[in-house]
Amino acid sequence: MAGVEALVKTSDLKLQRLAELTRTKQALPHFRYDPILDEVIFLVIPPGSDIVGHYVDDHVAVLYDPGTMDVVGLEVEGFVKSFLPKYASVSKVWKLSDWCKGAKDFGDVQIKVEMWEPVVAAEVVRVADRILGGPIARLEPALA
Amino acid sequence: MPWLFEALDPEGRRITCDHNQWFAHILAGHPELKDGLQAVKNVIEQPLFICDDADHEDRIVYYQRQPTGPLYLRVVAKLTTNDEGQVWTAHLMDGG
Repeated sequence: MAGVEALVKTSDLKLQRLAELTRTKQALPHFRYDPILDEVIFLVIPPGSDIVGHYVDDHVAVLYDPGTMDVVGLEVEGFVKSFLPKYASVSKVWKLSDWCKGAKDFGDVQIKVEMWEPVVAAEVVRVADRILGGPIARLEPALA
Repeated sequence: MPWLFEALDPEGRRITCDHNQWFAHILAGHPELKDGLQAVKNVIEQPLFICDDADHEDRIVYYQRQPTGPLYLRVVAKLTTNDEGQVWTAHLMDGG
């Protein structure tokens, strides 16, 4: 954030929980895209706990628990307008129509969406990891 | 009452907080702000500083340090005229 004094260093944050998510590709406790705000938030903990945003570029903030400094999610602002055009890999998995090919009813779509959320999240994590300089990849060799 | 609050920022803009925006968008994404309505109003009325939004010409961003921890409360307002706007989003951040 230009002009804002950084009160916490990126190197003070811990990334174990995020690395675990990318390794297991488990269903996310919380994944949300808000089309009005054009914002993606995902959390590896249930929403409602105290979380703080730490911006790693103009649009991406890692969300961490201020008590433990452990990163528990990511927030992307300007997701469709600014973030997707910059990152083709995320843009590709964001296209839900590709995932829903062959879906016969709403139940099928719901199952597909449940499969799709962690894939999108993992791709966003990979991008955030590149922005951060690769600490998650170093924690988790499977991502390297 | 159409607004949850109405605040006047130091530059004379009237910023309102819409019920739907607060509950359906801000708290839906940041439920940790459930008790933060007054704090959001305070940030608009007494910001540490105000910035333009780099991506949106019609938005301005208010920051204020929070008493607990190394935190800012960041409030984004979407301007509808030069003198009026509405709270668009808000969240806690550390300036990083």
